[in-house]
Amino acid sequence: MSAAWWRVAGKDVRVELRSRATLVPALLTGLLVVVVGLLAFHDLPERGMVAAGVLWIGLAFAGALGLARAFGAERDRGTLDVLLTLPVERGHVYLGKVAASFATILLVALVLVPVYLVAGGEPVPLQWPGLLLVLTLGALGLAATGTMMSALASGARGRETLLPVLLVPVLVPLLLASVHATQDALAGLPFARWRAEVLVLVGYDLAFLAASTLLFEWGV
Amino acid sequence: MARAPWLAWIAGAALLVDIILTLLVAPQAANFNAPLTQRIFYYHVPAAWAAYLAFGVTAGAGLWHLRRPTAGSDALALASAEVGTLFAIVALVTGLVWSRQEFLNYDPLRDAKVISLAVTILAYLAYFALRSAVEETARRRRVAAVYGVLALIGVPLSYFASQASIHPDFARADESLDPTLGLYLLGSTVAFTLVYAALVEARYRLARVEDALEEGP
Amino acid sequence: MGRAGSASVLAFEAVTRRFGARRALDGVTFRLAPGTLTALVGPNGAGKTTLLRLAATLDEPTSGRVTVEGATGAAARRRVGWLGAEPALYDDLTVRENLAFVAGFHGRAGGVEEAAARFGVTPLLDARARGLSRGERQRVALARATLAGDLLLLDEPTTALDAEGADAALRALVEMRGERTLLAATHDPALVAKADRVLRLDGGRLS
Repeated sequence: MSAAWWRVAGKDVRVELRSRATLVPALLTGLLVVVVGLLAFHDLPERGMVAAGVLWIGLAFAGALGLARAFGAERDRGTLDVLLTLPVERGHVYLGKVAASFATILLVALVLVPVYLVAGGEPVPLQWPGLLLVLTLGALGLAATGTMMSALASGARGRETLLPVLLVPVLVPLLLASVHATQDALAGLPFARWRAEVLVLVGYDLAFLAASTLLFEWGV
Repeated sequence: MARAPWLAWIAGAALLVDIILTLLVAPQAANFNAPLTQRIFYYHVPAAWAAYLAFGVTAGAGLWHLRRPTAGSDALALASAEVGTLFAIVALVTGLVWSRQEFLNYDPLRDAKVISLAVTILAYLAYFALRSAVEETARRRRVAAVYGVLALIGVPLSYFASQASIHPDFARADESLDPTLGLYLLGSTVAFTLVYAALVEARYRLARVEDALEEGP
Repeated sequence: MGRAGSASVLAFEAVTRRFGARRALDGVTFRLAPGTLTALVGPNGAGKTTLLRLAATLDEPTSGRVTVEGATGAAARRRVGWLGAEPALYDDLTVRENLAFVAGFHGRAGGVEEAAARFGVTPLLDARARGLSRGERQRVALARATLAGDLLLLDEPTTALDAEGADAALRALVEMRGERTLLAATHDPALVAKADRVLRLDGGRLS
């Protein structure tokens, strides 16, 4: 008897693997931002310094694109009612969707980082386990808040434009901490120097996951 | 809905007294770089306090609305949000003006408190955008309440995130403020809180009327 | 299967649902007895869909109470099988996967084949939902509803089906009386004729 959220996530992943309707556009969007970023800054001698910013802009755009579909598609097709009549607390539906979105966003991140490093001629960072940690925590935070905002916006007019508007204010702390931690990790700084940002990320993820799970009942 | 005109009178009087006191009566602060503009401090800090208080009230009223969905709790949340936006803008502008005078090489983007206030304003604006985009009444109130709570969580996190990643924080000189000047600051805070309450009360009454009109006979 | 003493399968107590100034449901009160088939009839816009959605916890009343065997929320949903006005399936999943998804939550994963047979969609089990006709989707959605809870809330169950399909579906539903309770919003006279009870809604009120 697997957990309810795991079933929901499994359904989403299966649909995604068959249709690739989210992963491909998200990847393309992210790559586009990275390419534009590399071109825009190609003259900059310290190109490595903007790497973190470009990467996270790419991830944020890619994520927002994918997240808009999370509940938008369900609502359009009428399948949202199927999810909402499942015999579980609705927080499970939320967590399942977060898990699926998290997988997509992390996958995009794991593609974008090597692409940027290779195309930009940057060295492989010694701190790559730390970098992986930051990407994971950041992707989780993005998935958690983005999925919730997608639910809030899905029942509203103009939801494609509403989603970024709702997302940006709550994403600021995540982006601040993620960009700086990524920057430090890429620069090879020892973990102790950027441990504070990682703690903020952990706090952010926990706070938003907990709050959104509890509040999801009313937000969808 | 009963009016409470006495609140408006008291708030107005308090504000007037506060302005006179802080502009004319309060002595020059000793250890500030720009003693004249330092007085903006008496408006900046209370305005920021009121902005965050308003956000807390919006989130709290929203939570209460989720527990017991009434038009009143939602009206309070909306009223507090609108008044809070006003105070947040005042706080941000006064803070920027003062900081530019006070600190050399001031960079707003490296100031954790500026970022917190900016996030607060953006969150308020998103709150209004959400409300105007949801047509069905019961749903609008519910999702607005949810967003209010989530956005509130983001504000202290913004502050901590800025602290963790951006160094240094431009330290406010509160710590080195003379105790007597601290009294003026406290008085100003009380006055601003009263003004906040009066504005919210008026806006709340208006919101209740709007609700009644929408519900029809 | 024993039922808790006094709790009806579905109870509406003075339920009103307002949308702005419009009352979609106005002071609706009724109880459903277990094992019965109830037809919900009325002109378009009378509030039939709203009533069903409230029963399925897809919506909240403005005032009044809705309970399923005395329960609300997730506990109520455990006892409910839902068929919406449009058959909503996951296009990229097969019929079997669509059925199993819901069935799994209700512990009825083993009943997928039987439910498919009951509504004549066995040959479609391994087909992607995307390729199905409207009538086929309707029958799959019906099968899915029966793989959920015992209180079947059906919004126009036979409407999109051709005469033969509607006939078969009706027989299948009527057969389920007794072990299940059914509440169906419908315009289909054949379904109304078979009902144990008819609830008539007009302008949000039960007459």
